Amino acid sequence: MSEAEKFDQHPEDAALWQWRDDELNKRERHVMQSHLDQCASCRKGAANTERLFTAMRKMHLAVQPTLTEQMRLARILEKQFVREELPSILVDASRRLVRWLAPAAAILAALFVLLREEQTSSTSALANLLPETPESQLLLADTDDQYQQAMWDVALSLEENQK
Amino acid sequence: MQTEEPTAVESRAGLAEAELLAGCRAGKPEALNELVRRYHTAVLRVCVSLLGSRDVDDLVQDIFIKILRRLNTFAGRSALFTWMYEITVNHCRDELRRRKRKRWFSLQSLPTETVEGIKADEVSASERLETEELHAHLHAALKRLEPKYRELIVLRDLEGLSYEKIAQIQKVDEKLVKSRLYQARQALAEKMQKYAEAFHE
Repeated sequence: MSEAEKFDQHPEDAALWQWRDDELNKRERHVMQSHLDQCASCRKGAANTERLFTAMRKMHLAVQPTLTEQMRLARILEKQFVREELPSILVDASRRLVRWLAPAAAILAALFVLLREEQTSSTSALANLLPETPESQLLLADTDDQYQQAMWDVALSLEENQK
Repeated sequence: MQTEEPTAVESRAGLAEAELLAGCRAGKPEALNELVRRYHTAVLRVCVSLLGSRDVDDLVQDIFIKILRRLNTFAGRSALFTWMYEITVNHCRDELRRRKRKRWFSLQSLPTETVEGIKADEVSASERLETEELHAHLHAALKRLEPKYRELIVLRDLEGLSYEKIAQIQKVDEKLVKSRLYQARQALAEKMQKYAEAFHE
């Protein structure tokens, strides 16, 4: 197809949009421009489209939030998302408290462990002293289950003794 | 085509994006105010053009709350404004679906005269001044487009975003964005053709 024939043909809509978006290569742009220079109908169509899109963009850009709307939105977001920082005096006090509490907690934990060990060792010492009878098991029982088992054993031994 | 690249808007602002993000995540008032100052206009415009109504204050507020709540999930794979556009467009889609359901139910319960009354109001709008008339027609034409087409016109022709960014927002291929945009423009041009000829003669 000769260049002259291309100028005579109406361009496709897709090409017109590409021309509008400046997406045609140099040669295509030249062909399109030459056609538009000659064809009043295509020129008018392209100009109408351009006016419409310009008007639409103008209308779109005219939408602006008012200062009141911006302030209102900022206030709502602040209310929901701003994290209040504690006054420095409170922060210092809480740090001091933690400094004192940590060693105190450690001492308490150590005492607890020591006492438990002592209790266990005293129970085992008692077990060495007592004879291995169901009654002594009753004294040494630590848990409910052990106590119940010891009770059964005592009852059975009593029954056997009676026999 | 005259476009205002949002990157240019960002570079004009004082706070860098990383600082803004960190400030918003930490709940700093100055960062929240900066976020509103920088993006309120864009979010509002997109909502108005996608929903065809200026009554979108609550919607814009919900969008900002959603953005701030999801800020910890923002990985920075795209620019902040692209991510915000994505949330805005998705929120508007949900709103359109909600309004469509609501309108369907309300139209079922309205007497016929009321529905006709709405049409009569639309006709009387065409008797206003020339610019207002054009705007009313444009709004109506835009509103009658399929939502996926409307989004493309708004993001590309009105907000001036690149194909690449639109593809990121809509999570589709760039080629699909181009072909759909062509269809969208054709559909809009067809809806406006008669009016455009009459308006410019």
